[in-house]
Amino acid sequence: MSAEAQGHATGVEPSGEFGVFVFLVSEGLLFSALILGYLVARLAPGADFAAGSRELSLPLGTLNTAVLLSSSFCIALATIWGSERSRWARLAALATVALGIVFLCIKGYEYFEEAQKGLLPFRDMSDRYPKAEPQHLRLFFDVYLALTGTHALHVISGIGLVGGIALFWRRLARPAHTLKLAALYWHFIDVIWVFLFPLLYLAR
Amino acid sequence: MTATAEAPDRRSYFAEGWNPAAWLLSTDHKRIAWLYLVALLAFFFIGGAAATLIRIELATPAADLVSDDTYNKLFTVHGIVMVWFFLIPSIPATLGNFLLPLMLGAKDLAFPRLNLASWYVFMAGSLTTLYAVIAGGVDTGWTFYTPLSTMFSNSHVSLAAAGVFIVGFSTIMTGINFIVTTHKLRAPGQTWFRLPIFVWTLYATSLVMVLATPVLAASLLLIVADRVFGIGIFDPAQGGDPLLFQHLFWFYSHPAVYIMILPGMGVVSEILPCFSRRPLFGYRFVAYSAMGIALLGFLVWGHHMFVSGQSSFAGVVFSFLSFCIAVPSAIKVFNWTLTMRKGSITFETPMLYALGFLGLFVFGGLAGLFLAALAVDVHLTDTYFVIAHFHYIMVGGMVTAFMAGLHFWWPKMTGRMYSETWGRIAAATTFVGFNLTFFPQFVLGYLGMPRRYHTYPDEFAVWNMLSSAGAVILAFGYLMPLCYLGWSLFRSRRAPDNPWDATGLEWQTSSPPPQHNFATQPEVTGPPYQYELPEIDRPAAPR
Repeated sequence: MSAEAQGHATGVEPSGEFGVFVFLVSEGLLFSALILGYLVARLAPGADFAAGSRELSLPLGTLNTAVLLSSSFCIALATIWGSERSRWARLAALATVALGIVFLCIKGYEYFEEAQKGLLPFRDMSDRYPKAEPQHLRLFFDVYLALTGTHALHVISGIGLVGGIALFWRRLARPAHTLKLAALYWHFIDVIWVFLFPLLYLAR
Repeated sequence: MTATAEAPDRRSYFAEGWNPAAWLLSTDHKRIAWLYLVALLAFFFIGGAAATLIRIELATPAADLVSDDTYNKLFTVHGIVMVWFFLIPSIPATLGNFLLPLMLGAKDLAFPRLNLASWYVFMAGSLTTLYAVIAGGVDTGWTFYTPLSTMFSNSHVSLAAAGVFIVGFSTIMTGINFIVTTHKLRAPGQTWFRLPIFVWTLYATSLVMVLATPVLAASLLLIVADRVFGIGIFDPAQGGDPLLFQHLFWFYSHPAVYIMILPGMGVVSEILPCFSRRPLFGYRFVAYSAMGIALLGFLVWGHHMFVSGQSSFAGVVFSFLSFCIAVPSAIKVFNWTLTMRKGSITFETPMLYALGFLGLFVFGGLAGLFLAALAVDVHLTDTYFVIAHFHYIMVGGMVTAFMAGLHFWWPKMTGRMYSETWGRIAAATTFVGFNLTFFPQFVLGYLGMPRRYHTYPDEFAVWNMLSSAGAVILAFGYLMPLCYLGWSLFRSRRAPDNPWDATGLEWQTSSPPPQHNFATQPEVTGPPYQYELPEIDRPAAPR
């Protein structure tokens, strides 16, 4: 039995949207907890924590921010075109997916570079820190990995979601509506990055 | 909404048959409630088996049954299974799942497929953790405190934590489903202040589920990341803060206590008016206090950390806030008591359980005030006083309320009546067994017996023996319903649609309900709990 068969006073559309918003609040608390970890480490007295952010690549981070913001723009277009039943909706959704993949590639390249420098906190690399206060630098990269890693997992699931909708567009009962719900999630991922970027890259 | 002219389907939701696919792939909330019920009862008895072994070990001062290491694993299994695989989903996922749409006058939850998915996610997560327990066990306690869990424990912490993490998704799914359903699928006329209190408490519970569970997810994620990748946010050697884990953990786990107790309060709020034949006293206060508990529950986590080294100022604030949260709970108890005043009280099985809840909850709640008091708690931290306190709330409160609700709505869920005599015997046995098990633990805690040890000095022997003896009685109290409720499914008289003469939409449909809950869309025209005293008990009209 599906929700469409519910009583008069109820529409499935607001239910779906409302449900996604409640879910996003829940997701927000997940990131809040991780960001709290960042703040505790950053505000701890005497820690040379911020030195870690100076090791990050600001150009790549900025580029990635631009990529993710463009992807949000694409999915906003896809939503509008979807509601107008335009063919372009599917294409814009695919562009969103492509930009999401570009984001992950750049992020992956950043991780690769940091690993080359011996910055990432894996156990076998623990004695290769270049700075005087290695443990605080390491703590920064602990937090950095936890935050960006969790975010990257969300981007991956977003790509799966939007990509799935674009691929199975014709088989979905109401593709434009489903896309709208997925777009909320995608925008959320974007908003989280908008918080992570200044915290990790800009506050040096 | 497709308007259909055909006659409404009045066949019961059992009518589709007993083949596994009709159950395992059904999106009917009533069937999913049964899936949950069966799974949760299995976990209840697994957790109960661990508790039994603990109580056998503690019957004598010496270590005669298990080693210290095995004992650590036993209380960890008991804690993890009981908290996450029984208590958290207990009433919401079973009775709540079954009753929420019925009480609202809806045909199903807002997202029926999400509801079914939540059960599969629950099973995947809980079986993962169960595997970790069988494959070698976990010895950190259910709290996974760092640095023990991240640096020193050689047991299957990662796998167990991953399982609990996965179960968290199922909790969030249920929470979202309940919130949206309550907002969007109420029948015509079913305004917020006409909702049964059970719906209010489920709503408050769902809010806590959605807001607190992700924080647990984050902290478990960081533990697994530490053990697997060496991401040491809680590792002091890297400048990390092990106390941060306790803050995050209790930011979830204290509200989780209210996930466990709020639905129980809702069940009791349904039963007491029904068997007193009186409207619920102070309906709005009971509803608001449920929301108040949900809100304040987020502000008291620090009272688990009075001796952890947090600042004494924080300790004072958390102590004060913990006293504050006693107020909405007390409002509820006050209203329940006044509901019964001058009522025409009968003592059917659900009422016996509900009265048991009332007594045990008051007792456990008052014991909580001792623990909220900063100075007293320094003495009582990590003693059996704490164990006794939260078992009075979790077992005496929540499990008793669960049994009360199960007996109250059993006729509706199954269409069968159970043996009233056996029900009353079981309710009385549980009450006696429970008190005998856990009251001695208050004394033990006061005398200073610490928790989580498998041996103890000889002077504690008498109280421990009493507690273990009580556990035997308690076990009988829980096994009895399994037998006579199970029996009633097959050999018992059929239940009428409204055996208790109760108000509420769920009693207006047939027992068991038809597949789409109501033959016609119900409408609500008045407030809930419109009970009237029977003619004989009514006071004479004033002249």
